Amino acid sequence: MTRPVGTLPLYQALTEARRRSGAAVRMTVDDLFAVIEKQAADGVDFLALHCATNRQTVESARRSGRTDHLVSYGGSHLVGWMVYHERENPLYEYFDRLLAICRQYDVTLSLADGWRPGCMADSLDVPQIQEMVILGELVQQARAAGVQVMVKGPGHVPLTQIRSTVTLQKRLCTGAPYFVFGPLVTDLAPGYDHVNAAIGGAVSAWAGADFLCYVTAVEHLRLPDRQEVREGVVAARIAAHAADLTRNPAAWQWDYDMSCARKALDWQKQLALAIDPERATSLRQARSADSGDTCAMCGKFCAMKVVAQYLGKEAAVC
Amino acid sequence: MTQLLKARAGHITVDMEKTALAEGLSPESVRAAVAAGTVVIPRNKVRGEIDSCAIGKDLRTKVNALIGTSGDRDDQDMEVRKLRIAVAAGADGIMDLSTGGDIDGMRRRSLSTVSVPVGSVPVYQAATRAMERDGGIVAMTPEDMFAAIEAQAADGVDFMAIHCALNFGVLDRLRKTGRVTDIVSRGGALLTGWMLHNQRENPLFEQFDRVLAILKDYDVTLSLGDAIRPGCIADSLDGAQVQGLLVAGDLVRRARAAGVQVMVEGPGHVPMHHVEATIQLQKSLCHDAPYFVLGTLATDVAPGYDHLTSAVGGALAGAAGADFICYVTPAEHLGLPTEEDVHAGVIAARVAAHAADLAKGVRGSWEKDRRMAQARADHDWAAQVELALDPEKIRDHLRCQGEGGACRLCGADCAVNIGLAYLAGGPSV
Repeated sequence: MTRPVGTLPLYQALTEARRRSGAAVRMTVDDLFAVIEKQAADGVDFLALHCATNRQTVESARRSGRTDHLVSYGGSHLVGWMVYHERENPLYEYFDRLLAICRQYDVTLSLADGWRPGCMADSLDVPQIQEMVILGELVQQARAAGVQVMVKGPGHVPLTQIRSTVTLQKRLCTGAPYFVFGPLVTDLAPGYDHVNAAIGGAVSAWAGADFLCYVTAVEHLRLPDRQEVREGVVAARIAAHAADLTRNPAAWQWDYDMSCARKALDWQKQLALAIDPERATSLRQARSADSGDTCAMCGKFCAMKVVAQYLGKEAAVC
Repeated sequence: MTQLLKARAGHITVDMEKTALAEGLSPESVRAAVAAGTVVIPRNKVRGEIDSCAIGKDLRTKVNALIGTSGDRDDQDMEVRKLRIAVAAGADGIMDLSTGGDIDGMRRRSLSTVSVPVGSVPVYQAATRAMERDGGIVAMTPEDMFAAIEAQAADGVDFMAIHCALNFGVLDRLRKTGRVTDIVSRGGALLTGWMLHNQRENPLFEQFDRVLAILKDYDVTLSLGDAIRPGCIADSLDGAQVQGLLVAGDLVRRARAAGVQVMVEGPGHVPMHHVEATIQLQKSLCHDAPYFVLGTLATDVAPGYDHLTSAVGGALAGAAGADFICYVTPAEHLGLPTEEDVHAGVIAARVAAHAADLAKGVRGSWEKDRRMAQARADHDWAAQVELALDPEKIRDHLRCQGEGGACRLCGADCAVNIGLAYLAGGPSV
C-alpha cells in the first residue's frame, strides 16, 4: 500500500475497554491517548478524532431535537462516555496533549464531526453548526502547534444546502481542507448510496470540498463486498472528476481526448481512457462484441459514422 | 380536442384530475398549467386510459426509460422484459426506439405491455424502411417520414421525438462553430446526412404545419428532438446548440398555437457549471416548455458508469428546472443495455429526480425523507422497505441477514444508549 493510511483510534480504545472491563464506556482517558500514541508510532498518516464533540454541543443537541441524533459511531460513543462520566470530552479537554503526539509523528489531524447530520431533515441544524464553530477554533490551535489539519463533513445534505455547508466550513475553519462523507442527497436510496453520494460528492467538490470519502451501494444495509468497494471508489472518482471540470481547465483534456476517440470510433483508445478500463472493456465485449467499428446501440445508424460521411470530414478530425 | 385545447376552453380532463390527485395540487391549477403549456400530459386519444404522467413546472420530476430492437440485436421478448423491468423500477414513461426486425410489431407490444405513456422516434422507422427498400437512408422521401409519423400516431404512441428544429441555418452554425463530436443524435445525424446529400431542407422543419396537423388529430405530444445536442463536455453551450434552441423556441410557439402539446429535448454532455445556464436558456427561449434531458452526463470519461455520470447531471438539471429525465444506462457508449442495465439506469435516474425534487421543494418530497430518517432512528425496517426507492434491496438484505437487533456487546452500559437517552431529555447517569 503506497497511499496515506488513516484510522480512528477511538474505535480501538473502545473495543479494548469492552474486552477488558465489559463495557466500552469504561474506557479511561489514558487508554485513549495510549492508543493514539501507539497508532501514530506505527506510522498512521492521518487520524480522525472527534475533538469538537464537547459538552456544549451535547447540551445544544439536547435542546434542539434532532430526527437522527447521532449517526457517527465515534461521536455516539463519546457522547455516551461524557454523559456516563459527567466529564468533558478528553479529546477536547486535552487537545494540547493530542497535538503534541500529532506533531511528534507529523500525523495529519482529521477533525471529525460527531454531530454530522444523518438525514436531510437535520442538515445545517444547531448541533452541526455549533460543532463547526468549535472545529474552527481547533483548526487555529492545531496550526499554531505546527500540526497539519483538515475537517470532516457530512453526511446527508440536500442539494440546495451543499454550497452553504461548504462555504460555512471554509469560512469558520479558515480555509482548512474539507473531507466530506458523500454527502448523500436523499435518504431514500438504500442499495444505491454510491449513486446518491456521487451526486452529493460532485456538487460538494464543485463548491470547494477537497477530499471525498466514498460511500458504497450497501451503506445503511451491511458491510460492502469487493465488488461494492470497487464501484464505490469509481463512483467517488467520477464525482471528483466532474467537479474538477468546474475547477480546473487542465481537467478538460481527459474528456477532450475521450471525445476525439469517440469521434474517430477508436475503440482501443476509448477503452484505455475510460475511468475503469477493465469494466468498460468487459461491457463492450458483452454488449457489442459483434458490431465491428460501431456499437450495438445504434449499429448501422451510428451518428458518428453517418455525419462523418456527409459533413465532408474524415472521422479523425481531432 | 387535445388536452391543450380542452384546458384552454376551461375543461378539466380526467388526466388533469388524476395529476392533481397524484401531485397534491388543485385540478384548476393543473388545467391552467396545461393551458399555458408549462405542463404536458402525453396521452394519445386512441390509447385508452393509462397512468397519467404529467411533465412540467411544479410537478414531481419524471423519469423516462428507452428500449428497442436494433439491427444487431432483434429480440422482442427481451425488449418486453426490459419494459416490464423499467416500469416496475419506477419509470414514468418509456420510449420504444426500435430499428430492427418487425418495428410495427414491437411498438404494438410496447403499447400493450405498459400502462405508462409510450414515446417513439418515427424517423428511425422511415430511415430503416428506406435502407431496406433502396439501400440507403438518403433515399428516404418526405412522404416516408410523414407516413411513419401518421402510422405510429394511429397505433397510439403518446409522445414523439421529432427533429423539427434542425435546418440549414443550424448546420451552417455547426460548421462555423467547429465541434469536437459534430452530431451525436441518431435522428439528427440521419437528417443531416439526408439534407446534405439531397441538398434539401429538413422536411420536418419545412413542413412543420403538416407534422402538427397529424399530432393534433391524435393528441400526440410533440417532443422536439435535440438534433444538435452536444456530445461531449467540450461542445456544451456552443453556437450550434444555442442556434438549435432558438429554432426550437419558435416551433414551441407554433405548436401551442396549433393546439399541440409540446416539450423540448435537451442534452447530453454538460459540465456541472453549465447545467443551470443550459436550463435557464431553454426555459427562456422555449417559453417555459417542459424540458426533457438525456442525463445530463457530467463527464465524458466514464463509459461503463454513465448511469452515475448522468445521476450527477440529472440531479443538477432537475434542481435547475428540468422536468423529465431520460435515463442513461451503464452500457451507454458501449452497446445495447441488458435487463440489468435497464434496472440500474432507472433507479439511478430516480435517485437524481428525487434529489432534484427536494431541491425544488416539490410537494411531499421532504416528508418522505423525514419519514425514512425516523424509520432509521427507530430501526423500523418495514417502514424503510416501504419508503426506499427500490424496496427489493432492503428485502434482499433482510432475507439474508435478518433485522439484526441492536448490538448487545456492552449490555446495560452501552455508551450509545446512554447518550441517546440523555439527548432525548433523560437525566444524566
